[in-house]
Amino acid sequence: MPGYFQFVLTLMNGLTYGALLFVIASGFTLVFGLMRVLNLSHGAIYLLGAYVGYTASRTVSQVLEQSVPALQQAAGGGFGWVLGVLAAAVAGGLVALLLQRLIRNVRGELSQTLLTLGLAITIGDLCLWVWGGLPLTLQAPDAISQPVRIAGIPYPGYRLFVIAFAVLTGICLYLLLFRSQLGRIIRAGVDNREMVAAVGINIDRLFLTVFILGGALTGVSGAIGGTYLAFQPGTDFQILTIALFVVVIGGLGSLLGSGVGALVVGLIDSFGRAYFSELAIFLLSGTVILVLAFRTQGLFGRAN
Amino acid sequence: MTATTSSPDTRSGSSEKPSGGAGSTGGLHDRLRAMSARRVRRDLLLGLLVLVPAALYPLVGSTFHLQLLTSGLITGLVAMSFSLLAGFSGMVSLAQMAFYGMAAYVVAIGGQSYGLPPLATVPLGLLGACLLAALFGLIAVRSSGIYFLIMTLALLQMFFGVAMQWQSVTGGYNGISGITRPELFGLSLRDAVPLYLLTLTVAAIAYVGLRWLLQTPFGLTLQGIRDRPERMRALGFRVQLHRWLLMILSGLVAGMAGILGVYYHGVVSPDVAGLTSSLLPILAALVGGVSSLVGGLLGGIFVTVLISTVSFLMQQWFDSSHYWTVMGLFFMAVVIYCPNGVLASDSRPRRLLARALGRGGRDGDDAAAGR
Repeated sequence: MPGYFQFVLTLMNGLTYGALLFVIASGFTLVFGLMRVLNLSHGAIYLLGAYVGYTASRTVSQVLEQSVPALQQAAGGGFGWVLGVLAAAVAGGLVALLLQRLIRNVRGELSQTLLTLGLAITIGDLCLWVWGGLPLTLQAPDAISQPVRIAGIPYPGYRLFVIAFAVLTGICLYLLLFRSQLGRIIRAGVDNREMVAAVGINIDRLFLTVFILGGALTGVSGAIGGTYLAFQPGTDFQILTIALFVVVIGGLGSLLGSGVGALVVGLIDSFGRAYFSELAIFLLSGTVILVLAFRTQGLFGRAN
Repeated sequence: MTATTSSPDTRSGSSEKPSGGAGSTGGLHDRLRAMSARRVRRDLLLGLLVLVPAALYPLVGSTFHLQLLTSGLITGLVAMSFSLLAGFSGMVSLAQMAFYGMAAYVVAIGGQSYGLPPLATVPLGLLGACLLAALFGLIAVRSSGIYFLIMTLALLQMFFGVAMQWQSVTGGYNGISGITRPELFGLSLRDAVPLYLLTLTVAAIAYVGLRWLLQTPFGLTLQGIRDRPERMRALGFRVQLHRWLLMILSGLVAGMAGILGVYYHGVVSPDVAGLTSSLLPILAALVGGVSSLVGGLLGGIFVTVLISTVSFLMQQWFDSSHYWTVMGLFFMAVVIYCPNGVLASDSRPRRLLARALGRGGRDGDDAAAGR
């Protein structure tokens, strides 16, 4: 039975990782679709979200422990964690706001993208300065970390929560983009910015909102991902890499594409690590190269 | 202008060069060629004025400064390979450090794991860098603009991932260390002076070679492709082939830097293809201006000296080794205030300097109105 055991576990891990990747990549692809700016500080915002979430949840938990222990026990440590996630959202949103202010001073997509590279380096180094180089994780609340039996195998409940969160995020983004007035305006703005502005919509403010939303989502994904995957300096580059692979496979700017791409990358990574160990990276790189060679715009991307 | 000169294509084409695509543009091409030849002569003279003092510098400079200059020239070579693509063909590539890393890894692995002499590993390293550039190029040259940048970033990250995870060959996170410098003409490169002179020679040769290449029909075609890819395609030039060849060439230049770099540092690790390492040559190229090759070399030296200074000051003032925070901010400032180089006419520092000196006040006003 160990073969079966390992297979189910690997499959579940792949799905969980894919779910997290979807949340990470959807913010990335959303911003690219709107602004045509590849946000190279995406991984850095993830890492910052994780660190801020870590500090906020620990501080809140400690304060509660000392002042109102009953509340801390009742929530099973959940109070601090939720506040940590919210703090991560605020941090991510603030960075996005700062980035947007900086980007306004620069003309051209290429220069704007290079600007985000500078920000990525600065944030990454500041995080190392403030939080040091040791790997950290957030403490998951007891309420959602009980093991659940799946196909007869106990599986950490928190990872199932990650999957649920990703599905919820996907549904919300779908409704926002394709079933709301705001989404219609956003999609129109992507296609023809001047026209949307000409009919009296403040497109800059709209895009700023989406930009901040994308940043906040990235910050949240940092805190949520950082609860089960350890983070440390260098995680920023890893996350940027994997997010880029996801959107390159799925197609830049496509929500469905980042969903499919995230599952593909998550499963390949999980199965590759479990069954091929150090050659896993070739499996992943090979997939990316194959997709690029035969379909430059990715599986669901529009031809540029 | 081009339209009028290219319309008598059928008349002149049959009498002059019947087959060459470049010959068909006739007079314009000759004029362009004469123009850039004049510029090449001027630049070579200027280059000599820089090169001679640079070669004599070891007579007066300290070992520390020589090492700084060597490292700066190595960064400058990578910056030059970046400018070659970005400035002369409009391809902003983030993958240059992968070519650097490839050459460095081949030299390190060949020397350490297989015991090959430098005479074998150095050409193999250059070949490796060229092959990697050819492979990356096959994928990347089909896209342009921001998509090209994305492809090259994805390819850089693949290289990083392979270097990190293929532990049995690359040594994983720690990479490969203990690479000793070889001897050249009986001089051990262990000493700072011969290594500096070798680096200077390589940089000078690469620069002159590229300058020569850029004024050949091949180079002029590339610049045409940068400015009007559709028109060049319509004129019958093989746009993607030219881009691909240029990519391989830039891989070769970055590979030269990689070999010098691995001998200079004595180690190679996946970090060479990390974001911070990749930022440096781009910063150097931007400071020097991407439309100038020599700008990349000078930018490389400037950036290396700047890093050394900033890291010293951070240590002094904040007792901190986090100079990358400052370098990231500096990079953003360069992108915002002087995207075409510190000395370019639209550079903010240059304008401020001109205003402070009481000249070019009108320039400043024009620019303010233009924003």
